[in-house]
Amino acid sequence: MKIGLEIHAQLNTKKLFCDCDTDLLDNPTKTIERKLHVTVSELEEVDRAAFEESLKGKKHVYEAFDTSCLVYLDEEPPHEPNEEAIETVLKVSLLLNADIVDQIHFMRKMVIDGSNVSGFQRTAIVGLNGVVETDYGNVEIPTICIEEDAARKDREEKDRIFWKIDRLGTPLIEIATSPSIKTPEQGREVALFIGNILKATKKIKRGIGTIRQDLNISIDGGARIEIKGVQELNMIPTYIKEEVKRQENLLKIKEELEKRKAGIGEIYDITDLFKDTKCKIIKKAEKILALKLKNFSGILGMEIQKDRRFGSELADYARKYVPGIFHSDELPGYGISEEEKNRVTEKLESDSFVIVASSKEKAEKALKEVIKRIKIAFQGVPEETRKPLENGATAYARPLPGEARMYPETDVPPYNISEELIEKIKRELPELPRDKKIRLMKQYNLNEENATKIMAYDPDFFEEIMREYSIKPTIFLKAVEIYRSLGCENLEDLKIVFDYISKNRLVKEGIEKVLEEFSKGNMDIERIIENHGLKPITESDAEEVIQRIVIQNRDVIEKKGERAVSVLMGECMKVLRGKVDGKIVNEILRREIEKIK
Amino acid sequence: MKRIRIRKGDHIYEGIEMPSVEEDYIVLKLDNGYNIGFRREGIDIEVIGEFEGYSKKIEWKAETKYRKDLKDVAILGTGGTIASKIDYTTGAVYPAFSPEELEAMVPEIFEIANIYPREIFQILSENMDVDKWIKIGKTVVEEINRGRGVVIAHGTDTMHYTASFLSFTLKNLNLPVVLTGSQRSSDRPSSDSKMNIYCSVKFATTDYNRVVVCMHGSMEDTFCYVHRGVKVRKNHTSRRDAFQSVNTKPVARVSYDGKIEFFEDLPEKHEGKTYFDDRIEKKVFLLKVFPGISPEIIDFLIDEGYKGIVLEGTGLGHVPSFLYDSIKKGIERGVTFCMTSQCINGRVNMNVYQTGRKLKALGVIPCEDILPEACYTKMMHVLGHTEEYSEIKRLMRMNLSGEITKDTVIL
Ligand SMILES: [Zn+2]
Repeated sequence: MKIGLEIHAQLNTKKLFCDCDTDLLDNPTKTIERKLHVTVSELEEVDRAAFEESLKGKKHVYEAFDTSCLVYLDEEPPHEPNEEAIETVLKVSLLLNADIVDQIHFMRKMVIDGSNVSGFQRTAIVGLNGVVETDYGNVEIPTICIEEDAARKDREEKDRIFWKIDRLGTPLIEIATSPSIKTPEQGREVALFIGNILKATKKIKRGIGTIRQDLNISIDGGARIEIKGVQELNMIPTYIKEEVKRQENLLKIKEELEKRKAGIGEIYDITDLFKDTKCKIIKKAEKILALKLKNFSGILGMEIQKDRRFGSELADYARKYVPGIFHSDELPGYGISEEEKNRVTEKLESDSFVIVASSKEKAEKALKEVIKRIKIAFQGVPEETRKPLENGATAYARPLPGEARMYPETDVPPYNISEELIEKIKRELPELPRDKKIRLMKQYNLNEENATKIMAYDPDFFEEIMREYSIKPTIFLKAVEIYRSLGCENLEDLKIVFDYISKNRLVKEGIEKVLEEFSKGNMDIERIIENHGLKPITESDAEEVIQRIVIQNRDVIEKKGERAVSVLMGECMKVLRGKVDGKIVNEILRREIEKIK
Repeated sequence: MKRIRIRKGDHIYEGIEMPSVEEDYIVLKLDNGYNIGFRREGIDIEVIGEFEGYSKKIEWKAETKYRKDLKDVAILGTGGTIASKIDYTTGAVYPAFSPEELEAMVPEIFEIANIYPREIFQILSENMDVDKWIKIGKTVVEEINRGRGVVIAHGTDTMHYTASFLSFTLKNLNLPVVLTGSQRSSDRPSSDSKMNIYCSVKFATTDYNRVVVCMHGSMEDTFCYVHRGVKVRKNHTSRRDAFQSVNTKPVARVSYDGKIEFFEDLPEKHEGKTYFDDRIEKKVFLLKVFPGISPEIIDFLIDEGYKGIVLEGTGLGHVPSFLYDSIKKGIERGVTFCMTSQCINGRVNMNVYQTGRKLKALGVIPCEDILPEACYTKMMHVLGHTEEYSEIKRLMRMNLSGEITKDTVIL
């Protein structure tokens, strides 16, 4: 089993080759229609994925903003690379113990799906030979690159794809491990470790989609699969396990197909057989075609991954032209009756088949895709790019791109990295997350679990709070956890809460209520405290309350003496819980009882 | 190229040695396609083999057959990036002009014309000179007289100079001569060259028998504008719609789907053969006037034997008064001074201010709304035909090839 990881993170700087901001924008002010070309002489070498795209012959409409400059409309040559971005990648490279290249050379990587206005992505190696140490052993990081993010696909119309160019050119750091990850758990650990290093630079963009993980997985006899865009780190082990399972099952299918001497037959027009069908999809379709299969019964319906059957893999391929397929192992079903199934079986003289309902052209094309996929099943596992599904399984996205054609970006001169620059950056290196965690545990007397949580949230914010407010780490964690569970991300909101607590203007027990109100948009903390009675009682107020209780219970004290404390404590806390610390209540109570005695 | 092994510290790197711009560095193309640079100091380099190059060149056979229903168009190569290929190893761009290469690059043009590619020479357009213009002019004449419309693939920097020159020197023109180029070299998928070539070939099949420039009309790949060769200027360093008609509208608009919309009537047809008028005076200078200019520049040009000086004056057509003496001296010695404006847009008028009136009195010829670049090539042409001041003045002020518009329309 071979597992490799590729991590892309957006840098929070200006664009890589111009001075535009990298914020995502809403209202485009200009659209530019373009075509991308691949010349015939290059087709021979152009990679599979690029070729599929170019065949579609689509026009690309780029939506620009009043702040967009000419560089990323490919109307002006690139400017010098952004220094801050390069220094950030240098920083990460050093934190990953990598060697820094003496001279950075930007390359053009052909990308002709339209996501890059120029038709290529600029990319360069900055670091080499990095390494991540994990509990399961070392993982090599052969290359650390700096590159350009692509434009955002907005929507697709018949022959046009619309892209927003705000994201195009945002510097990305790309960290690729060798396929030396040995277990699903190690995969997660490596991703987490690298993620923490990235965060430590404070130059990584925050928010959804700013860090993207790709998994490369293959097993013996299987094929290289790239699962692109895993968001949730905790799901990494699941994706790896599910993919291994899928490849193993596809290999089993291959064996079974050989054993059964299974085969692919002709395509039949079976529109007539469904004259008065109850299946809605079939009913409204112009043509119904069936692909005859030989000895596939049971295989089409075989589960190869969580909630996915071999038939799902076929459907993925057909989806290029139709929304879905029907296969014999799932029939009767979807409104197709037993009798209809029998009719098809009779006509095809086979009990295994795939049905597609659509226009003649689309149905034919879809079945050709199905045939393509079935043919591969006889050989084993196809190399694919797959997209992660929520349940841990994956779906086919497109063929795995071959080595993209790469050639020098002659518009950008080589960028020299001086030893002085490296020395300077070494001096500025942030504390390694691992070291920081150990320090935090010591300095703030945290247990491992809480330290891990703080590292995952924002250790610097934690330290800032500890410096500026006198609250306990547990209060910090509680507040952060509550606020995030309410779906709020802006931890800055918590500062006023910590301020109130440390100045004894809000009871600790009131945090939950205050944050609940915050999450509804009500940020007026004074009013929240007022409305919900969350104001702590002063000691003299508490004294008064306790005195009253003591006087009311004179007889109890006279009867029980010292032991009355435990009885009356309950009474006092009924009134004062959450408003005065129990210890203080206890102290006052003892004092007051003493007075009476 | 050589395959080398570099040892640096504990690590060994293998790949192909690339040309390096800086001597202190060696550039290596790793097997993953990336280039990286090493400081030569402190590394061991070992040659481990030869590298033959990746590109398995495909044998592309041009099988286009002559089609009687299509017009003939010659595509003349002069250099520039419009028809170029890239060496994917070094990134170097080189011209690609064989019929095979053209057909591989822009197969669409073989659907709209019978294409005859011909390479005249390969130079960067900033290195263009009068002798090369003459060579282009003579080649155009050969092709036109074979009944072919002409497309000239040209670097963009000086394309409007070449277009102006040809406008004055190609006589009795029977078919269109279309200059085109690319602002984004043709090796990149987003290049403007394909649409530019397509629209130019399409326009070369029309009956518009003049010299024009055909380039992107906007930043989009949707249409090209066709401009009169004498009224066009490169007005942007990098945008694909850099070429604009000045003081006039474009001649036509050619959509990427092949539709042509004319904004003016077709010119009259000529009888007889097209010829190149090679009576040209090369000693013409284009001088931009600026506040710190010194009269010695003009004295120097006169002493060097320049026959004509196009002044790119300020505003309506002015120069500082401290140049008067030098100009006067030049005119007395038979040097022709023509006035254009560095404002680019608008028309020269030397009657409004005293400066202008004085210069006119000295004999400086006001050149209406002729662009400085066009005026320069026109003067070469005119001075090649006559040395007589009054005749020069008459010709310079006469509209020979569309360079003067009577009225500047509101655009
Ligand atoms: Zn910009």
